[in-house]
Amino acid sequence: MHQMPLARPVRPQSRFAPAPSLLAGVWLTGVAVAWLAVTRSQLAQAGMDDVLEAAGGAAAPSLGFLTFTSVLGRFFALSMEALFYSVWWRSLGARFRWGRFLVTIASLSLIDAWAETLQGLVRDNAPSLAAWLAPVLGLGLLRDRGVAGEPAWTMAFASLGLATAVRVTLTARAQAREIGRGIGLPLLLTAGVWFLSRVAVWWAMDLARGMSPLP
Amino acid sequence: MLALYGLWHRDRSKTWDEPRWSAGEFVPLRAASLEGARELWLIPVNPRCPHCRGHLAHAAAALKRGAGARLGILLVDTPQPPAASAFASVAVDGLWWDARETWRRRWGHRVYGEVLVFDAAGRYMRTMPPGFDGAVPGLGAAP
Repeated sequence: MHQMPLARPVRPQSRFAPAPSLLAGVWLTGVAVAWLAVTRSQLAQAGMDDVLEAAGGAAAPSLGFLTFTSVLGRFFALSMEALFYSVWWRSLGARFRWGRFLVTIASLSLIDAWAETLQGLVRDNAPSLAAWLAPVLGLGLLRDRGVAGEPAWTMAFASLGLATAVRVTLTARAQAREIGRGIGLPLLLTAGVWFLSRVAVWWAMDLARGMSPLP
Repeated sequence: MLALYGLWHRDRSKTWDEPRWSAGEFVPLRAASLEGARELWLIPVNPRCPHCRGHLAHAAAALKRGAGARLGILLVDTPQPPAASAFASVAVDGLWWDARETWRRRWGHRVYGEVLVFDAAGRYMRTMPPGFDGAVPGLGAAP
């Protein structure tokens, strides 16, 4: 009896095939460029360009260098965040793709970039709208820049608002999709991590400034 | 988080001295007469801080000398004061070295480039953050 030739074994599709990884790289580069623009604008608004120019000398870093290192630090933090969730869910036996999740949360960080850009625009061009837009863009919009005596917790929780809530929820949803479970536990974990990270920022800022007022 | 909380709680519950200007507390590097001055603006500067000169320039621009305020530099966090020539080109009324680390250890302040304001009697009035913006109490708007 003629035996049917065995079909060639179907090679399981790579979870991160070359083409998607190339696309992911291009996309991440785009996200980094967006953050470079936002960070440079923020540093200029904070008067860092004037300060650096007045500082002069070879020891003073350029605005471009500060911007670059700031964005590099942000991407390092995003990588650590993705690694944390990856280790957390894998330790509970779930499947979790670190690379894919990193691309997701880097993309979601653009919500922060958008909110921070709009905050700057509202401050400079429409301060009368600040109180109305603060619940959406972040409560930091209610705080004036450069006012002495502001407690550190108001700066640490400055991003609290609808935009952050959306980012936290979408981060939790991405985890739920990765692990194939409901959104409940991922949402609890993500919100908890966000809250604890803000508290840590608050305490670290207090330790860094001592009795000095915050800039 | 617990370790951070421990550090934070210990730091925040510590009783710090309120700043007070006393010329004898610091080592004078450039003679400065504060006679007739209404206020002294004292800027803590670390000689190795690249941003400090910028903050100094900002404060100098905000300060209206005609209003009776004087501008001074307090060199902090440096075991030896730099050569006087290092700050020769900076237009300030006085230059002091914080040899006893009063600013950090007794007052609990840690941000270079802030502006500590004292009245003519040396009493502490307020501190403005580096690169402060907006109105300066008693002196109008900052640039």
